[in-house]
Amino acid sequence: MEVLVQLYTAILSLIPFEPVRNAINMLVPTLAIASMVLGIVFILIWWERRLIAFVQARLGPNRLGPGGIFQSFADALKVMLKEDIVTADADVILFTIAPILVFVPGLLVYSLVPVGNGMIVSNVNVAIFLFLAISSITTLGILMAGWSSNNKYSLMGGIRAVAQAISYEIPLLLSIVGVIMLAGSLSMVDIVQSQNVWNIVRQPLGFIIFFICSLSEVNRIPFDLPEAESELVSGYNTEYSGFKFAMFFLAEYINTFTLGALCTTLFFGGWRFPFDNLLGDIGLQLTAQLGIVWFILKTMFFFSVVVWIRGTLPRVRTDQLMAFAWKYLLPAALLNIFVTSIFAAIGFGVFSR
Amino acid sequence: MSIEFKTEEITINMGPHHPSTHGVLRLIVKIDGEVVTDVVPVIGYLHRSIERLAQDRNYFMYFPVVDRVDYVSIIAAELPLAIAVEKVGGIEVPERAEYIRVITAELTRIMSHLFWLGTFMLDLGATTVIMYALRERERIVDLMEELTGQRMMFNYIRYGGVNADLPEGWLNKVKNFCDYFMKMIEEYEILINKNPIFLSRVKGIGIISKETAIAFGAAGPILRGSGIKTDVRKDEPYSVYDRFDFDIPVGTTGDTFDRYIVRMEEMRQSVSILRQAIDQIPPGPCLKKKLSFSFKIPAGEAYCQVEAPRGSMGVYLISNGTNTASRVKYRTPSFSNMQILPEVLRGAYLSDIMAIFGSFDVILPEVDR
Amino acid sequence: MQKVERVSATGKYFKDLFDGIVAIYKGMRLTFIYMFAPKVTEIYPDVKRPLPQRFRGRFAFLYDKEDGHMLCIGCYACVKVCPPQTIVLETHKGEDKKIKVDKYDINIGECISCSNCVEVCPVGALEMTHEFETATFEQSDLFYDMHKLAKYVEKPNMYIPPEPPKIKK
Repeated sequence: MEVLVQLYTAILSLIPFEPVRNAINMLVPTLAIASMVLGIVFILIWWERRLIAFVQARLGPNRLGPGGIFQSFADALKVMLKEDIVTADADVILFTIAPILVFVPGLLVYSLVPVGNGMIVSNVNVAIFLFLAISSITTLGILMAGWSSNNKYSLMGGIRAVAQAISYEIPLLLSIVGVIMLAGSLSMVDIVQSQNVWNIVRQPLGFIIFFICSLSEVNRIPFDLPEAESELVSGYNTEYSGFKFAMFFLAEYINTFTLGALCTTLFFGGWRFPFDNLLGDIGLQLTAQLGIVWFILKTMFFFSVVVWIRGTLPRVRTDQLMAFAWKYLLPAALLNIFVTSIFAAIGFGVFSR
Repeated sequence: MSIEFKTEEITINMGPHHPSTHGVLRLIVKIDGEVVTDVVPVIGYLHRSIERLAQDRNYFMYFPVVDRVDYVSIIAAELPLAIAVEKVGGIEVPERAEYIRVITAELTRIMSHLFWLGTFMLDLGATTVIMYALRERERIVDLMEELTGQRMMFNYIRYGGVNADLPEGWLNKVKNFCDYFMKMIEEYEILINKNPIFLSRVKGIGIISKETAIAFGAAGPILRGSGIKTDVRKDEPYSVYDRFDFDIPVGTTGDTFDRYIVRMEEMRQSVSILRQAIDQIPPGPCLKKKLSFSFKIPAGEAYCQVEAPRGSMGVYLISNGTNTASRVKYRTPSFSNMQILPEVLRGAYLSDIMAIFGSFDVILPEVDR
Repeated sequence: MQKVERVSATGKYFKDLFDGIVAIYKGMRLTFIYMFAPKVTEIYPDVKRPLPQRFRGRFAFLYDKEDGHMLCIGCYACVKVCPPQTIVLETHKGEDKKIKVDKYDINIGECISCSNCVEVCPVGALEMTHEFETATFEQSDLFYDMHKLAKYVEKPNMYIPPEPPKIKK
């Protein structure tokens, strides 16, 4: 993989004119990451359906291609061919913008995530905050979709999504503070490089809180209240069809993949091979050459865990959702910060920088 | 500084096309934020005039129609009509047939409760339980298919017995199923019983007091969940139910969780009845005499009720001496159970609507008939 | 006397938390095991499961295999017991004073496969076959006449009332 990056840099250096070079340097990695994510999402959709079926003692989609892997392509084709319906009295402009506003930030955040060694679109030094800032735009899109659909179910879904996102963003942020403290940096690359011992060892509580909160942020069972099909039909995207619906649908999977990517980056050593610093040269070579493979494997693992949770737990209620965030997660996150800061200050064992 | 907001209640039409109204129920729900202030159920979307059909179809011809009263537990709808006609017509039923009726009735009770368990958990957002429940239900359906020839509309019970004798080795299969099913019930309970999310969704939600339950004429697990120990199988035993030893599970508080526990326990009791029935079943004929298809019964009337999975299912039959009934009235438990819905839902959360409604186990074709 | 357990609010908080975690762990373990358990799905069009003997599928109108005469005697019993009243039977009296069946039509879309007709047929001229894939693209294809319903058999399909099983000693 490093070879690829070197090749790209070499080709880039051949371009003489600097503004053009910069423009290309912005465009190519972005497109590469975006197409990678979109490609993975198609596999994810199939993988979720397959895995949830396995949990439920079923087989899942298995007709198209080996193991049914092309099922999502067929579904995408079907969705795109469908009629694009706009509800009567809908706010057409918001109705059209909403799916874009949900879809784009989901892709945009991947410019901040290091997917491999040196494979990052822009190594911003406040990456985590930028990440959270961008991903919270999604909520706005959901509210827009709920409001503009002129449907009460959609509106309820939108309201729920906002309420949920706001209350879960606080413990989410606080749970990352421990990681930032240990790495001493907000940059994702720095955080990954600081993890000679994975952060999960140093921050188990922080990870649990982070995982639960991000489940809620991406509206997955048991926190999928905005699109609870047994209560709100389909929630904020009830009235959407065709390509607009496809955008919502893809955004959901992109966001779930982002959840896994963030878990990997912050707590599981990002692109690094497990214990690469202990394995010596081999480990470092594995990390350097195949970074993106480890990254995707780890992320897929977390995606599978999300699906597994979906196969086990029922959905919580709105008020209980809030109570859970404020009663359990917030105190736990504060405790985590407290304990971590003490250990980090002492420089005790694995907590030493 | 205070700002006055203009707030108003939202009216939501839940159904008739809604993923979790179990068919075509329409609930006009008034909500204030997430809190329900009023609910008006609108029924009748699935009316098929089953009671009217009795008046121009002879008894034999009418029988497949009553399968459609309650398509989740078919025997429970067939049985009261058969017993009522036998009562009026003085038709004798051989003992073996009575046992077969009990076995099929208990199998369909498990079938119905499994289906309820799955949909109830689906209403709460757990997608897996329905698959596990349907997997076991499928086994019963296969057994019934082998016995009756169809998976849903059995048309199996006949006036004076049952349509056909048990196939060879069928009882053994039922026995195996009983053993298998007891293991599976434990699995459900691991998955559900102590799950904190499940408990917080159902405990203390949708409480029906004893008085309310009686006042609204509730039946079955709802009545028992409220702590009233009553069961038609024990109170006025029909068929051969007086020969079996089983418990009536009752709840204490009458909340959604109690109704869940009562149904789970009922499934266990059904298995126990099945085992006893298999041990006791005598040899002999299953149908004393084959009746002609246009048989006549003397004029008279009878009310007969059985304990269906959802409560006491009654048939009031008026015969005028011809081969066609002059009136058949189905007293279906779902209909009376559903009337409590507005009472319970006031003050609940929007998400609770489906939890509570799911725990009622209302089957819409039974409500509308 | 029932022992009243006194738990402080803090104790309850942590007990609830602990119980919840244990219960969720147990549930997750169960679903994890199921991930690798054998699946129960039937791969339907590829692998068809054997139908039981008594299966009631599409309805058939029987003809004798040897000389090809229809078994039906036109007694109208099946018409009288059909709950959806979908059987159309037309007969005329032939020159030899015997009843001849002109028409025996049935709409498979209306038929509820209750097998009432099979049960009442005095000569066993009807049968429920094991065929169940009767879906068509055209509604008119659902109308089956006596030739489309035809099935040639060696002996009539008499309804046998349930008999006592032989007691094995």
